[in-house]
Amino acid sequence: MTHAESKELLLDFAYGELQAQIAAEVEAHLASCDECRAEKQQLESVRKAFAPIRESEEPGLGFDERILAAARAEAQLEHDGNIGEVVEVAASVAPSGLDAARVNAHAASVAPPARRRPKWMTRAALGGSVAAAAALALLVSTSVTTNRERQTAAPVSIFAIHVAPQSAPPMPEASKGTALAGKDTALVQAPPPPAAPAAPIQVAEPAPDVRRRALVAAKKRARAIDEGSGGDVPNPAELALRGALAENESKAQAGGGVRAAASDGAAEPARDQPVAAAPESEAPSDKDVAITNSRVRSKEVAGAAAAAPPPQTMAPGLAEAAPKPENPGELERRAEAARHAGNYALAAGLYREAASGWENDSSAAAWDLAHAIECLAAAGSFDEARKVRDQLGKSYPAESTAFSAARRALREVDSNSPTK
Amino acid sequence: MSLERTDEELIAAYRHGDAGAFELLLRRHRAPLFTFLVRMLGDKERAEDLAQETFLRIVKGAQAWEQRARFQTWLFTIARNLCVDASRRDRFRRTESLDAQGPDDEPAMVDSVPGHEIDPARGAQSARLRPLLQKALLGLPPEQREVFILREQTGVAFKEIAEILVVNENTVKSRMRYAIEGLRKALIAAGIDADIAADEPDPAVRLGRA
Repeated sequence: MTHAESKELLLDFAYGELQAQIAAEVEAHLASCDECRAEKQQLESVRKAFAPIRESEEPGLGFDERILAAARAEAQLEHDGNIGEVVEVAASVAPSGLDAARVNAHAASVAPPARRRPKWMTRAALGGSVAAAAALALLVSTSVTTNRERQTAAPVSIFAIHVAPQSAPPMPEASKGTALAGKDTALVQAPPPPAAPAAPIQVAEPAPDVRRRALVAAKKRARAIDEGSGGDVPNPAELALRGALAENESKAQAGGGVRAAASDGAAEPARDQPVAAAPESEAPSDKDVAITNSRVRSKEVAGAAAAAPPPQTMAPGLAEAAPKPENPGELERRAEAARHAGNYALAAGLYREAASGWENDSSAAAWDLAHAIECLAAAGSFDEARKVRDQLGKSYPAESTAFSAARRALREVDSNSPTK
Repeated sequence: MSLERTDEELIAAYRHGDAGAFELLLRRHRAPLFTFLVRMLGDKERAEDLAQETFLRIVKGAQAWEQRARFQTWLFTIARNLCVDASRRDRFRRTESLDAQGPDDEPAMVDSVPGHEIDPARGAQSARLRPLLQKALLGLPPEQREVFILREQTGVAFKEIAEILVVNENTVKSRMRYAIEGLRKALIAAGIDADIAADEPDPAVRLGRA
């Protein structure tokens, strides 16, 4: 075997992909060739050093169940076009392994024998009706969405809160999945009449304290939902609720005061007018949006200024840079410089300021907020960091990667502190 | 004689309505796939998202699947394409979390929770090293990183990697050589393995182009 041939086959040789006879030829060449031996030696050193990455990682609990539920539903649909029993995949309901396989006369010939599950885990067979098909489609497509899709999906379903304000109160865990999924089917197929016992909807400018309370309550509820559902498999109604809450909050925050959650007990109607639930009429005009943006921005800047440390602690060269409004890219660069200088509080302020400067780039804004959170955490300002994290989650629900980074920055703190 | 059904037999059974067959497939491939994604992305949460998405695409695509390629090839083709999409979405400078470049060497990009350990002392050692190694992996261009991880961690043969990436086998191996060279340099820079640093070869001996 020539040197070139051998050299070409070194990788295959090292990974044992060669037939025995060819491997022996390479080996013979190696014995006489310093260059090839050196190359093989390097390869082996790198492989040895990287051995720890071969260790296996396991996804979190509940991973299998989410996928298996989809797999069963799909198999059933393909097999006989019917739904037998529908496996609801709420976090509290964890059909495990083969126990969750369904009993079906048709499928019995191929599926391993399945045991009956308790009634609350299953829903009765729906036959081949249209409703059943719709329900299945929903289950398959929404009960197993990824985190990212889950968040982008939310705003689309805002109407759910308008038509069903009473859906907010948490239900008993066991019944939740079934009940909400059922309702959701109804929502998708036929939006209920708008004149549903219209809870008072706040319009115009509610008193500030009402707004604040509504905001707090909305946040609380969003959190309750997050925790209640286990965060793994939200059902569509929850998604809708979350989206609606996020929407409400951003409006309330901005002082536009379009409306607060109608079902919110904490929000006492101040100057309320009963308004038939008609989402379109509530959409803020362009002007409203503009106001919203500018207010949010000035708030951000104020927050940034507050978070910045006194001037004397600034690194030289940063202190003289006047804090006049700048383009966000420039702010990011300054923030980065501050971060590298270890001046995390200043960096956090600058990142937040930069975040509010990205008009059309929610990804950039979200990442700046995430960086601000990391810096705040580095500076030990955990409360502030959590606030910004919540803001990030609400303002940019689609930016799950940025949100993950933010959550990571706070993970250790959160897991050690009893008051999350 | 082996009673184990092959992946391909299992997916065929699943196509005929045997949900239990899919469960076996999931059990078999869950960890390798998830580990591949964790190493590619350096982020367990994103890896779990993409692993879930990969299996869901298998579920959706099972009926249309034709047994021309191995199941594993199909699985990793989907996962790898999802990785490519994901990194296209995130601009590079933003995917790298800040604390990865921080002054201290805290493991930031990936959890340092060890997986299966046999020897506790070695386990602790590798748990300490893994974040550094992960960082070195993330420093590679994605097309080199995926080849290295598929071969070294997942154990996919070069020929199959070529099928997954839809490039020829020589391209795969060439990327592998660049990856090894890049990782070797990263190790030296990080001072991880003195053994390698000490063995700095004669300048005439170069990895890379054959």
